[in-house]
Amino acid sequence: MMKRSFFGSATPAFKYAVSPHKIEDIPMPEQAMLFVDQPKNRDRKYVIKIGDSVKTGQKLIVFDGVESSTVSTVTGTVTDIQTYRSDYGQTYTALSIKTADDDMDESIAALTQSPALDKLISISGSLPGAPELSVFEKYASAIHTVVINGLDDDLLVSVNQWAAQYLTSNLKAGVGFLKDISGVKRVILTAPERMLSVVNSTGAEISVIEEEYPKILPAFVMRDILGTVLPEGDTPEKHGVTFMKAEAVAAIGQIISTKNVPLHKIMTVVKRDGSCQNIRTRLGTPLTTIFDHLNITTQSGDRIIIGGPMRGSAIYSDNVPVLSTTDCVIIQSASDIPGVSTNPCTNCGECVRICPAEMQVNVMVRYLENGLYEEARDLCDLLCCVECGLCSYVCPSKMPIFQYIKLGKYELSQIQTEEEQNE
Amino acid sequence: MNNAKKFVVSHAPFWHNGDSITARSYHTMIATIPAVAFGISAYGVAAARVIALSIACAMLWELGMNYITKKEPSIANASSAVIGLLFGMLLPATAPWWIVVIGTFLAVVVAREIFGGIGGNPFNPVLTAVAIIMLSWPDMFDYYGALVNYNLGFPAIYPLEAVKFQGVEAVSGISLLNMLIGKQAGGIGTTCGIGLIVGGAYLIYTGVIRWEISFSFIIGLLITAHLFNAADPTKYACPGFHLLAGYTLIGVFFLATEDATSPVNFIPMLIYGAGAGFLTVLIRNIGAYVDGVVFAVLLMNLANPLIDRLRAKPLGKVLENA
Repeated sequence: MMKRSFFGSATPAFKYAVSPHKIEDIPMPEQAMLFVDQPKNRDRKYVIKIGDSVKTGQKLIVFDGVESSTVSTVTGTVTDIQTYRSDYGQTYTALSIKTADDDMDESIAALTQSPALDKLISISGSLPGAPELSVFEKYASAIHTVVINGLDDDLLVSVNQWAAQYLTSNLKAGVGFLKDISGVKRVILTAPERMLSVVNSTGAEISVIEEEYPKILPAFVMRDILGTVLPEGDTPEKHGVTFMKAEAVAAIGQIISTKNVPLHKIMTVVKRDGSCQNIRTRLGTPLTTIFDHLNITTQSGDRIIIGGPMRGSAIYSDNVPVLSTTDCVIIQSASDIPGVSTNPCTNCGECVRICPAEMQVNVMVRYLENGLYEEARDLCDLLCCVECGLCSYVCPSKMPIFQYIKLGKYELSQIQTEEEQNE
Repeated sequence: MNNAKKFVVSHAPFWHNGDSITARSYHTMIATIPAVAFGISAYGVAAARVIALSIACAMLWELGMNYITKKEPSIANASSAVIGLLFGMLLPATAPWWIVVIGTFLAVVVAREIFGGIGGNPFNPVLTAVAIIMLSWPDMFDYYGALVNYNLGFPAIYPLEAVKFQGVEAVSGISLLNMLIGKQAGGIGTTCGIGLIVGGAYLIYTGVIRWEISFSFIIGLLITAHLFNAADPTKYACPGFHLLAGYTLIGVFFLATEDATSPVNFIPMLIYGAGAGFLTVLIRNIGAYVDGVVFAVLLMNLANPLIDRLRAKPLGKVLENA
């Protein structure tokens, strides 16, 4: 953890992590777990039951009459069905599966033989890096620019860097696929200067990006590289731009070039002492298996974080699987957890000075603390927030500013949905 | 998923740079050491007594308010100790005990706690207390009367008062260098210019105060003082004199820069500082009071919320009609 010393004047300027060359393969787990993004509710009846067998590449239909886009990444027998609750009310149905030797589902085998956009869309959520191919369907041909992130969107994580450096042939095939999508005029790969020699051969337009956090976030890429402003609250897709991870593009490329479905996820594991390691593991591997393999023990009072140190989310159980979006797992000892406080804002202005979006954080947090989310949006531009987390990082009062912001945005989206339903 | 292990779950970010209110308070206290040490060496135990009582009273008042408002004791963050320390520094060494007790009550309870505690005060607590005392017991800040029995080894002239009532001639005996090293009458911690400058530099280096405010305060003060001086050199003192006399330097580095009452955006900080410097000289030269820092900073505190609205648009804000 980067801390300022008592007698220091340095203000934090974070650099993105440099990817290590080495990668460790985690063997196939005996027990895998798959999350289906569909919670159980009163109207839904399970069609899947304990003892059912699933094949690799098979669509997981959990509920009667409910379509699913989740693809099994292992072959085996269902041993347990549970519900898992995640952040902000997101709920999954968790299937535990006793794994066996891989047996490919016929439909997925057929798909890989002739990969087309509309077919890939249906499985894209289960590919490593979860490329959002559905935006090409949703916005028809309006997407004109695809930006591939050669860096990861959080500190310590080096998944996309690894993919961009060592999966270049797949990446090249993926870039070719994206270029052929109707309407797409530009495919840009953002990479730091030191990676230029490696990524030059991918066929994408290369844009050099500063390695300073959080320059990789969409709002900054659009400003610095595309020269447009992303208006507050809008998605980049609304303006014809979509963002993809290098790993995701490499996964698409793997289907094109090798006719195989990618089933392995690259991940960064950050151990207690802060050392980072990249691993390659089967999607659906429970974190406990990874910890066992890497000789990491966890205990009560630790914090386990999925994602990076600035934007990730802490989990309450280590019995969760590696998902297509799980880029990083961090284990923090109890003594390293900084904690938050109920101190009020002292108006020191640290957050205002560090905010890369130049927001009026000190005033906004006063509205947010009191639940005045609409005022925070209208008077203090809450929706301009790029969610980098730097404000909370520097706050001397240790206020959970980032949490207030996320909560405020979530509550506003709830209000908006409600209003739309009432109309 | 029945797991006996209980992990800590909280919101991102999971790092913190380790800065805290306590650290900032300690930095401020460290920064006052040169000036306070000079004051104690000049005025002896009496000065130490005022400072110690002031710090203790300020902390006790906060503890009392914590008790009354049924809140967790918050004196550990040392913010009220800083208030007590700064208040003590402004007083003459001969200040009676009851003025210290009342002054810290006004600073901590009236000026800060009833507005919601740290961060909630609209006016600088120390200066609010000083202003109320200046209005209620004007003799308290009469350094001539207060220091009459001291033999300091240098002429115990309170330069601002001398200039105000007797013209520039009266202070011709005090060189700027002597004022810089503290050979003037005044508050315990306000006379040693060099000590305050060292402390201010330390605060700027550690990032506790915002240099823009101090910088523009000094610039605003020098320019205004220069204009007055150019107009009538016999009546109005030179800019360097105004910089080193009275509460100027403690105001520049310790009072005007108080977090809750000063702006945080760049242009507003410059306006705020320059305004305080301008008003200081204005009050000193043509106002009713001998020293203008107290009311100048309080007036700028009043304007702060308005000034601080001057800022650039955040990223992603586009004109609605564009």
